[in-house]
Amino acid sequence: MSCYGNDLQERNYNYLKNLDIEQLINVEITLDEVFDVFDGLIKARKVSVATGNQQAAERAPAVTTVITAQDIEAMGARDLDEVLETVPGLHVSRSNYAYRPIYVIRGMYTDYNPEVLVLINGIPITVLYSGNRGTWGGMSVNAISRIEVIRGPGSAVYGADALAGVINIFTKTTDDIKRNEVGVRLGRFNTYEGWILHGTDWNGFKIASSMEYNTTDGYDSIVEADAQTYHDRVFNTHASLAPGPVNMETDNLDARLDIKKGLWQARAGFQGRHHAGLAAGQAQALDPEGYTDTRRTNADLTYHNPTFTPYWDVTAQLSYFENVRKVHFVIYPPGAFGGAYPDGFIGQPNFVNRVLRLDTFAFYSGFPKHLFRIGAGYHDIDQPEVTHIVNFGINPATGQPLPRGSPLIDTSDTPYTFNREEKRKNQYLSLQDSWTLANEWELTAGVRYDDYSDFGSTTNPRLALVWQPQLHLTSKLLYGRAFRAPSFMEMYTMNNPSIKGNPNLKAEVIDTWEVAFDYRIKENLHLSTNLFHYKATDKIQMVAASGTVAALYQNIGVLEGNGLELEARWKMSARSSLLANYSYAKVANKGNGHDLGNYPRHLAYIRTDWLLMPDWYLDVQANWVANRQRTLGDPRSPIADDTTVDLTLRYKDIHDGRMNFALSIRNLLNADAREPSLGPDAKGMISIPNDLPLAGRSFFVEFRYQF
Amino acid sequence: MPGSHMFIQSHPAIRPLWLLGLVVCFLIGQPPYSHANKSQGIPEYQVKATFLLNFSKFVTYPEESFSDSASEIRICLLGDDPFQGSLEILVKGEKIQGRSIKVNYIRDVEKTSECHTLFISASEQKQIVNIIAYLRNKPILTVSDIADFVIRGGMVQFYILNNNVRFFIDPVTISEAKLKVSSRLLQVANVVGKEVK
Repeated sequence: MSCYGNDLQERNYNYLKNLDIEQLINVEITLDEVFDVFDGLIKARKVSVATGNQQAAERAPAVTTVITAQDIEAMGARDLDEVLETVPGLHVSRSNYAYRPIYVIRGMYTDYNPEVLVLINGIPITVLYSGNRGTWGGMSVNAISRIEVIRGPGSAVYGADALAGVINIFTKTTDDIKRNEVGVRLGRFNTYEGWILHGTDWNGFKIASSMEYNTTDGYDSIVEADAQTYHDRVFNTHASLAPGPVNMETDNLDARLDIKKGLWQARAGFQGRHHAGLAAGQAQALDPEGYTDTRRTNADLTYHNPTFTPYWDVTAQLSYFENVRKVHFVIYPPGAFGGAYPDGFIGQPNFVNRVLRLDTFAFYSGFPKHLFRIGAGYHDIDQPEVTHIVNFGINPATGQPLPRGSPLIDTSDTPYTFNREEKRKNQYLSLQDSWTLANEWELTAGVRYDDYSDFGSTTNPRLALVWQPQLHLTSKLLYGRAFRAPSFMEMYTMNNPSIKGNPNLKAEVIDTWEVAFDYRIKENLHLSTNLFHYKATDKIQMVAASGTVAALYQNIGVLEGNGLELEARWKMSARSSLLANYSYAKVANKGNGHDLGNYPRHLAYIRTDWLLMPDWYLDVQANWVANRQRTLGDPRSPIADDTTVDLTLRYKDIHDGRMNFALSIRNLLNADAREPSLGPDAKGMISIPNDLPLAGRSFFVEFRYQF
Repeated sequence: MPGSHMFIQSHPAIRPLWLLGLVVCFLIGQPPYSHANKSQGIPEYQVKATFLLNFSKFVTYPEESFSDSASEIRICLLGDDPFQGSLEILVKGEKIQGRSIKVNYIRDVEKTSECHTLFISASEQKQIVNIIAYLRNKPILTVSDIADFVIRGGMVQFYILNNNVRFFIDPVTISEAKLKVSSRLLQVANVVGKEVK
């Protein structure tokens, strides 16, 4: 690339130097700096997520995607989930439990979605209880500088839960906040959002801070029938709130502080979700009363010395992450069970999770042609507090079932609560070598050994051969093994009539093989493609049981997935660019031979950016989600395909401009997009027969000012 | 690759691929991309770099800013390099009034004493007031594209007008620094007077 680039620069300079200054002022410049969506994409294609070391994406030993703040702004995305939907092979579905986002990567759909590891600045935000991101997902994007996504395994570097993919979110530092910024966004459904970004250099301390606040009533798409509708039919009652709207209201506060001096960096963050609605309800019965209040708090102190000695690049990090969940579920509405529960069937299963991590890693470059990475760490993972307030179940005072219609009682710290106060310790060692065999060949071999105090040890290797025969063509052959740690929900759920935890669970494992190609046909047209195959074993799944509990978590079943992803980035002219991707996946359960269901076999995304006239930008994106089969035993026809189109018009003077306005229309065609609801349970009940409705057409206006 | 046979068998799914293949073939058939093509334009910072070289031609530096008649003209860059290392390519083999041109990369404004023309990168935005104060009345032509650079006491400030690179110039600040600017440069510039401050 650089050879070609220098040649081009030289040609341009020879041309420019022969111009008079009078001519020079009339030379038309490319809009790269003004309208550099394509260049932004290309320049941004450096990733650190693949090996922990920053490298060009096409040479990184993994299939990666990078999205920058510039992309996020251009496409008018307001939430992480909208951004991730644009990644090839990734579809953001919605869980039956309160519409939490499910990041379905390469067809790996599960309701709790613990197989995707999400990191903020390299630190996991996994909640121990559920193994995912907890009762809410997504996040505001105004403080995000870039997002790196691996599709495929990441456990050889990141350890647990990097099974289907890794999403690493980087927040803005003083380098990204060239000017302070305030912004507001107003939109449909009473959505109000405001933010402030501040960067300063104070006595050698580089200090970046951000604060984002967002409040919304949320979209109000109608659920035609819910679980209570079914119960009403069986018991001849009229309690269901369906047809009725989903409850998507929320108040969000995100705040971050990032202080850097010399080799030291200290960061702290807070993400609060106050009174967040439960969408179609925790038990698929509409619940306009219930809510979740959740707080994530994080802090870290990081020391990074790139020249500790001439050959050693050393990092040590102490980090803390806390997730506090406070929920109020009206599981079934008042009037359910013949009106026996006047306030509804209520549960408040709450907990506190804390993780303290010490991670160290170092790169050693003392041997020619080798770059070694050595890592070791210790994680103290704790669920110190489990509280449970309910108006059903066993009364701990009497040991007898609570009579119907009882007031709320506290079962915390009794044998009748819902989960255990438990700890888990994890220590690991990892080693990786990136070996440049020849100029065009690079072999990366790595392995990580993890030991867990509760479910034992696991070893996860990776092997990657990257061949770059010419500067514009790269091929990769990749193999990796990854694991996911059983969550406390899967291990210790108790006093729940429908499911019981299993403390003997072991890690779920996946082996993935990929071949990938990156081809720069011309400087303005880049293509990449990959084929993948994976086999997941020891899947942790609910298995029907006999006795007092309907099901038990067990390591059972094998999933096999195959597919491919294609991606094109094309700068069509100085004023327009196009990005398109298509993904195919097919995942089957080896035990019964049936399709896994619920995931889209086909995904396509197209985005075009246009400079309409100086300072006016238009972004149009379309997303196609197709061929979602039903799960085994679900008689419904497949979930309807959908195409959503978003349009964002923006005024921005990048040079002297401090003002930035935008108008965006989301789901322009008002498509009736839906995500799959649960199939029939053991009794044949389909809680929400018409699937989970998403937002119809909406709009927002945005205003930013930099100072 | 294990499992690839499954993908070959599932042939209704392959149909969209053929379409995509066709689109790709169509794209490859497009005429080659070239920066020399006028409708595509030239990268902004290559044009700005050429201006930097031209400024050194149209400005006369005082004798004492050169150690002898053979010493070079130094074009310096303070902060991050928006030219992506291309300044050397630009100045290679160039001579102005018999002097060859050298490019210096500088991180600290106090190390600019050897510079003749100094480009202050946008990365220095937050320190710009201190930088200008330090350079005041020194015989160094200061150039930047930071907003309000000329208003704050800088000499030449690039701006973009309809996809052309243009510049503000403040001849009073320049002459206070004992530099002489040619009238030809002033003619193509947007001249800013002291009274604007």
